[in-house]
Amino acid sequence: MRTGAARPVRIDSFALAIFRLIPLMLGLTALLALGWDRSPLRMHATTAAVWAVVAGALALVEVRRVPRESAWWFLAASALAVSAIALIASLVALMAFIPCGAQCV
Amino acid sequence: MGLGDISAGGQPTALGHIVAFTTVHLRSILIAYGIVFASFGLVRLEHDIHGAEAGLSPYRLTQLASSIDLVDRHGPPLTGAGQSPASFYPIAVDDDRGGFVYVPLAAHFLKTRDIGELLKWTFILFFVPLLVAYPLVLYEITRSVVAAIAAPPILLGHFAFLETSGFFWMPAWANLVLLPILLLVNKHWRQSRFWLLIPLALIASFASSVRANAGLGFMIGALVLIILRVKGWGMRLPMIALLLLAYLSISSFAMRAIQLQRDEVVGHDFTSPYPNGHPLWHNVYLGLGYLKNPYGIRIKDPIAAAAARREDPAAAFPTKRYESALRRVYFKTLEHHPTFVAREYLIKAGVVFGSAVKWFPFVIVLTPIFLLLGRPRERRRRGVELMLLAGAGLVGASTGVLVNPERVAENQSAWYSFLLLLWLMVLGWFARPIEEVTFTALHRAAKRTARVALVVGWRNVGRVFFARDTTWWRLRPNVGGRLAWSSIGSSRFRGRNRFFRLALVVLIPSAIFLAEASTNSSYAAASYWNAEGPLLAQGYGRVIADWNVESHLPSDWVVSANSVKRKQHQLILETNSDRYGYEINSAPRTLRPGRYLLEVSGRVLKGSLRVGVVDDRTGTFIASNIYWSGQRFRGRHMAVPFELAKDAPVRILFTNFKVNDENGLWSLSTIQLRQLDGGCRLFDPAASFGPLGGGPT
Repeated sequence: MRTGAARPVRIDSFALAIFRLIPLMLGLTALLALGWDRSPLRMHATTAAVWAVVAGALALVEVRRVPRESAWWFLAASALAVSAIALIASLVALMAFIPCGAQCV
Repeated sequence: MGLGDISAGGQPTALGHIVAFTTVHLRSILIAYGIVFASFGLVRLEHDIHGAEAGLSPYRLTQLASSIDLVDRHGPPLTGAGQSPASFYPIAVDDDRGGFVYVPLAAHFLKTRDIGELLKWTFILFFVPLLVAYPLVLYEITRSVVAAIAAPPILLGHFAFLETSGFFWMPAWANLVLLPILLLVNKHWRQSRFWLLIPLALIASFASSVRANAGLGFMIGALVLIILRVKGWGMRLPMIALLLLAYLSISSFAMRAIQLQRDEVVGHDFTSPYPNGHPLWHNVYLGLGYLKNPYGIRIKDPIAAAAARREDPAAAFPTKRYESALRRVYFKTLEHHPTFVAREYLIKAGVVFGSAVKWFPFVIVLTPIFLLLGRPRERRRRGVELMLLAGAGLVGASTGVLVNPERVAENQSAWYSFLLLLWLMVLGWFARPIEEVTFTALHRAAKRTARVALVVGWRNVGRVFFARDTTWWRLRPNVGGRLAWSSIGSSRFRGRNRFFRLALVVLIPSAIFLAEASTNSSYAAASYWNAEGPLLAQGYGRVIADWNVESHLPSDWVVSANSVKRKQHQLILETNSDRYGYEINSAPRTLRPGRYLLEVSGRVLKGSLRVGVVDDRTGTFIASNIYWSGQRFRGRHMAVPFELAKDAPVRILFTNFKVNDENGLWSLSTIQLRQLDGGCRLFDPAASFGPLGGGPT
């Protein structure tokens, strides 16, 4: 490489992998914290729904960005699926408290 | 005008036009047919379903009503409230929670308290769309028009088994919705189709939240599909993990989240002491009491509660500790009496397969034929389809074998729907090759008559068949002879192990029919044994009416039995053939408020009887008990205690209680009506148990 030439910004592949795992981890955390009885973390349905939406949005960006043939695409799609699952589970839980209103949520 | 003229631009007949139009627009026509049939189904179901809640026990109905009450008062779900505002108690701690969440919620939004109407319309809402979709879906799976047309009437005809079962139809609905879609995914498999399985697993999870393992049959099928279709465990494992997460999402995670949030609202931990669903070991242990046994086990909740208390005195129904105690009791029974357990399961398996013979005998005969005979490619395709459905069959059958094989929707919904689906598939397997051969023959005949080489398929059959001067009688010899063989996929019976396969085709149905025949009496005995009433050794209370029926029945009593004879100081009565037919109906007699005992001396020689006291104004039983020939009477009396709060005209009624085809035979000598004093205690009062009373079945 010639001295003084601009170097392309590269994210270390390990860091990139971690970054790409974030939506999956977020979605999974929202789902497990919602209703897994051994989860050390506990989330209300509302909180879990919010985190599921965040995870879903991140995963969606990744799904659109990564080439479909890539293994990363499967990871991003899995993250999207897990986020959707977490969102639906938390919505079912929220729905049960609609008649109860604000005093229950 | 000949066929050649048609290809050259000639005009087919009007009928030809209609058939050609039908074949070109087949899918749209099937959807239209589904909609028309579903409209008819909607009217039929709306008219015919009465008492949709009948399948739910009074205990479950009370719990639902309590939850509806509290939800309507803007309280939390899965909770009931006692007299004081702070006295909350949990609902459905011994049951699947989903139904107890959704039904009160629907009741609240629809502003109704009529559980029967709610369940009726839920059933209609869930099942009528199946009538719309099935013609097209079944055509897409089997490519058989006959099966597609036959599907809605067959489905509608079989809804009767499910429609008044409360929400126990959920496993059947899950199977009927999810499994055909799974078969379609399999048929048009590409790796990207995996993502379709996720929403299906969510639906399975919803179904399992209402009834334990309702969606498990689909899940097993989906896992089989992944294992068969996806290469390498590196891809299979994440797919399986995703499916499992989706399957647990509503039935486990959402239901638990609702309970935890409910606990925060009421300020009490009602969640952690109890299992997060239907108690498993309670039912598995009780399942050992299907047949009469020397260990005192029978399918009654207090029996399991007593067994758990013996194992762990602090084990209260239906806590995790209770479940753990019953698990230990179950394995001890298995360890000490393995032959008893094995015999019990063997007989129950016979009864489960016997149910299949009773409900769908053609499935038992035809399925092995289609799986074992025919072209290898066809056999493989059918085999894969059956493998995808087999999970549902396994779940359905194991419920009957492990718990209770009684032929009611509460226990057999999954097994029934698996067989129903298999019946529709078999119909498709049977009809499709016949349809294929018919059109191939038409094609050949058209070519041979040197008219024109049309590509005969659904699209052109109308033109070939109904062109003005087609001498279609010429086609007959080409069609008829091949139909029988073609229906099993081949006119050539070749291949390896062909005689072994042929033997299996005969042996498998024979074994199932034999199992049905040999367990028929066990099924009847089990039904009687689980319903039998108590026998009293001594007379209680003061006799207020006494009928000696050794020689004859009182002249004002109505007798509907087949025959009544006098024999050795006893009246021998042979029942009529109606399942619950009235046999003896006494004259009415008005009784004052108080506690009474109806005592009958005699015995059941064959079959069973139901004796009870009926309110003459409404015709309903005030109290009744069932007795059967397997009980040891030995001088003890049949007894029906009852209580009246105010003056009431009552009748004594003896009815049939037939489980099999055999007529009953009874001997009777005396019938007494006794008045009991206040402190008289007849039976073991342990009728209720646990913190809540009642319990699941």
